[in-house]
Amino acid sequence: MPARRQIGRRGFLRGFLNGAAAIAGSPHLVPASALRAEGPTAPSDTITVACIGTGWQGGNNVKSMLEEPGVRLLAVCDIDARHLESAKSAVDQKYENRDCKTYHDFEEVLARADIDAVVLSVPDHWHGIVSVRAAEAGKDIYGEKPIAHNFAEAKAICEAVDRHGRVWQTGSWQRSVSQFRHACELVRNGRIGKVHRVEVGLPGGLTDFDGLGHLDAPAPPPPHLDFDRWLGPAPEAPYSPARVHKTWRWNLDYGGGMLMDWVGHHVDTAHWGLGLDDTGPLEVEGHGEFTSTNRVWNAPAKFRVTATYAGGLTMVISGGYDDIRRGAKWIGEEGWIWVDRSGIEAQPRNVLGSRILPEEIHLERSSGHHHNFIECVRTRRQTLTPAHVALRSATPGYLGLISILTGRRIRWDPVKQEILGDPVAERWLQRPMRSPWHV
Amino acid sequence: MSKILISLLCAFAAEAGRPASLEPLLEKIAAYEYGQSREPLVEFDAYVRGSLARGEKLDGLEMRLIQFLKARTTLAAKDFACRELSLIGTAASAPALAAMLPRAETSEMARYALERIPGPEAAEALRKALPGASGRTRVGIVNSLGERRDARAVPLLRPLVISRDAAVAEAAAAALGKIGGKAAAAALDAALVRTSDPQRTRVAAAYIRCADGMAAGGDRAGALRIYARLGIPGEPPMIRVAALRGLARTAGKGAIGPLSREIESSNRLVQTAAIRFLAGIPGPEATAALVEAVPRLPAEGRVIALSALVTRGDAAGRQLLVDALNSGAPAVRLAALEGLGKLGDESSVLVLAGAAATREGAEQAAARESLYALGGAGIDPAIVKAIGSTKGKVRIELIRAAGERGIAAATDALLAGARDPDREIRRESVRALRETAGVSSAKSLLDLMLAAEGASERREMGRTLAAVLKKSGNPPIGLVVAAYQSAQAIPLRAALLEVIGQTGSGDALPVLRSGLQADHREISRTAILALSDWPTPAPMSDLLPVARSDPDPANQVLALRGYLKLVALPSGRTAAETARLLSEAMALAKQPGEKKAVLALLPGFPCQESLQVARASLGDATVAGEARMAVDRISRALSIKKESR
Repeated sequence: MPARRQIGRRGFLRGFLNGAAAIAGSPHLVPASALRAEGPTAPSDTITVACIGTGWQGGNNVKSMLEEPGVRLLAVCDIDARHLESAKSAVDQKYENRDCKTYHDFEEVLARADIDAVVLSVPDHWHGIVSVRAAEAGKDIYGEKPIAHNFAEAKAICEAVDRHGRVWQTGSWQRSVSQFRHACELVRNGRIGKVHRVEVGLPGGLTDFDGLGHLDAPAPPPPHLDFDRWLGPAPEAPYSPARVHKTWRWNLDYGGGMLMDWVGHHVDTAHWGLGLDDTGPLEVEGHGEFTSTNRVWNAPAKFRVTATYAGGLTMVISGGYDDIRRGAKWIGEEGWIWVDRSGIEAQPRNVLGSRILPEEIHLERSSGHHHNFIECVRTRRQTLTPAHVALRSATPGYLGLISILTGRRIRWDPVKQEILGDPVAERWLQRPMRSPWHV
Repeated sequence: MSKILISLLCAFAAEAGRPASLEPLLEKIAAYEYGQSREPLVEFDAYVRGSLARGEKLDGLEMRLIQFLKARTTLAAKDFACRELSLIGTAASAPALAAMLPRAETSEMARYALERIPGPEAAEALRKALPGASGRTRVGIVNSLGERRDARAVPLLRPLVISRDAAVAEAAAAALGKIGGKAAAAALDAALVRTSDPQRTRVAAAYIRCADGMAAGGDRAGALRIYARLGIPGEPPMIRVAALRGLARTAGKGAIGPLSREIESSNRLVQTAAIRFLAGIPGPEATAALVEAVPRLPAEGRVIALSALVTRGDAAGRQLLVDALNSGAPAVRLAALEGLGKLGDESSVLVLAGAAATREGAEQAAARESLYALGGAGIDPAIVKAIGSTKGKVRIELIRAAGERGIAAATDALLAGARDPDREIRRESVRALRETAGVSSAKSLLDLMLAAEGASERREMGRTLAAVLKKSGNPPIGLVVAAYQSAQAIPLRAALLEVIGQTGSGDALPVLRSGLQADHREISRTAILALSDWPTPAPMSDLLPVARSDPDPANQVLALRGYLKLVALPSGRTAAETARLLSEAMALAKQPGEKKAVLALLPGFPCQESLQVARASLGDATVAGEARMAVDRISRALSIKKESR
């Protein structure tokens, strides 16, 4: 492998960015005069990355970035000291040094001029703030799904990414898995005829991932967790183990239940198969079942959302009920195709063997979701799941949740992306943030 | 319970048409503390939801909640009330909420409601509270005014943009950016010269946001002035980037000149953004500007520019891609190879085939992918023609491409290739025929198989023949069966039997079944394997006796494994019926491998019967671990089923 030229990608930025953190000691600086020279070796530089949020999926993202060729993970950031330590340990082990810096505050990470991109694996209620700040700071972003806690913050992310010319990849990694792409290509190319219905089966319930759900009474926060910072823009509330790591999903101040946790996967797949990346439903109606057995968890444990699209297409998103199988199932005039992580099925079966011809619709192939992101950071191409697509994928979930919580049928203008004729429902598109936070 | 609360409850009960059932509920909520059961809150939410769904007026309920705020209810109860009011509150709630703003313990929850409640009263409450507020409360109110896009707040926010309190100053800048309009823009413009970084950068960012709003509202000239002011060198790079983006969106073709200049910026963030924004402007002028700029860019910039040209889909970029194939920079060459897959035409066929034949690694892979992906009616004929006129590795790449693209018209050329003296050409041709040949070529393929040299080539040919036969809904295997019955050499007979099995044709089953009885081991084994790979569970009853009593122990194991594969296929059986079949299989399993296979299947059919089968293996030390896992998984599945019922 040819030696990589130690080009000053960072060198471009040094001396130009105001307020940048010191980057002394960076091994990648070269004089500006050398920056435009085309050397004999590959001009593609190492992409430097920081991971903000390193618990659970954040830890998985750290590992993925460590495996990614041409990427150097320079820093990790978390407000849980244990998560932080674990992440740093993984990085140090991989690189066999202790160079990886640790941070408590994401602002300090974003201020580093020597970091090209960030991977954000923070709870949903933080997505908007960190993502917008990252875009403003000139970082390309891999952001976990759903894109944001609510519609307004998702829209703010899209605007910030667009305004600052950033590359964004959503963690909707199913688009990088061949069976999902195959299923979507078959549907897009009419192998089952015109699709009139799509069934999206999501998990239901309020999973007690680590068995801490019963610890829902107020308690002093542990010393390794900065709980006030963890709350961030969410309203004041007492700490309890059931409120935080993983199971924050079941409190609507931080997440959106299973509906919003999975909308960025199977609804995203459903949209991809139907070519709906730039549009949305016309009407959404949802119902949910709530329990009060847990003192912190208030998301619906079961839900069914019906979204109607132009042309008479109906999407049913169901969680916690047995009648719709997990995954995405498109039902057309000439058959159906179902896909999930466990497999792909179709009726008639021979649809699956159908070849997509060169002149038909070919969906982008990916050799890995993180890899796709890094490639696009280099080429500035649009990723498989850019921000505006993630917003569209999440919208049936946002509107479905509003309908569940208000009991009202929501009419939606997919062009203006506005609720029609319902000022009460409109209020639910955003949520006020605790001071000093704003997006 | 406080007197106020009692009177409120009475008033509520007196309201016409209201049921009295809410009183106990509201009493509980009044005393709610975090950590208590959420049941009353859930009930109340359900009540509100039902009312909203029915489109009922909620004035009375709003009044109740307002009184909650004034009464001696817990802070948690007040917080709950504020959240409810944020959704159903009206101007009537503003005074009570305003009264809560100055107090630290209630300010946030009050603001939560005021930010959402529409109408001038809520906005005025926030504005009135601002001068007297301090610290986080003050910042919060500023944020809420920004979120409400309250234009009347601009005079209040204007002095705050240059406040010495950094948090207030930042919030004020952001709020003005959201509010937008001429007054906000003027305030930000004035602040630009009176602030220094980091606040100045925030002011500039907000100013850009104002400009974006102005552009969207039709004031293009006003927006362009701001973009021009902030897009110049000397401004922070991300501000310049935002300004260039605004310029590109607002000025359209008018932005081509400035963006073309910025493409040569020494600042990478600005340079790459300029390329991207230029690529977003439609029309040949923007393409020409990109094409013209590419040769002057460093390698990194050229990669981005080439990718941008490809994204535009403008054929004017094609020659640049071809030229870039010989760049000294690998990333540029790679970008060019990838790009040709989208922008290429017939002339690209030999270029890409040549690259696929001579390059390595990522470039070779990109050349192949692009060759397979080339679009246009002339591509397939060009590939077919080139197969006949090329040699060596280039020809092999073209043969591969014919297969990947499924070019039916290449079948004759590939059949010729399957007889070529070069072994690699023969192999690739045979593989490609799987995708290109139709059932009408079955005889030719059978002849090739019968004439194949060596087991390996015969096997490849057999796979091709089977694949082609399967393309018919009812594979016509008569020719193959006749050949099988008349063949003398055992290896050839076995290979033909394998093909018959691979077709999955209903006519194949009797042939395979008779193969089970064959004297020769190779034939019977081939029959077992073919039945094991059957697409439906139909041959289960053929394999079970073999698993039970075939004189050859190896055949017994193969048959049992095949049986298990078929049991796992979709069927109309109940879980209990499948569990019984697996129990039968477990009784025949002599080796740990087969027992583990049964245990791995059991959880897929959770029922008491499968649990019993798994439990029975707990005492077998060779598979105890797997048995325990199966018992756990089945038990969990059964308990989930019970819960959901």
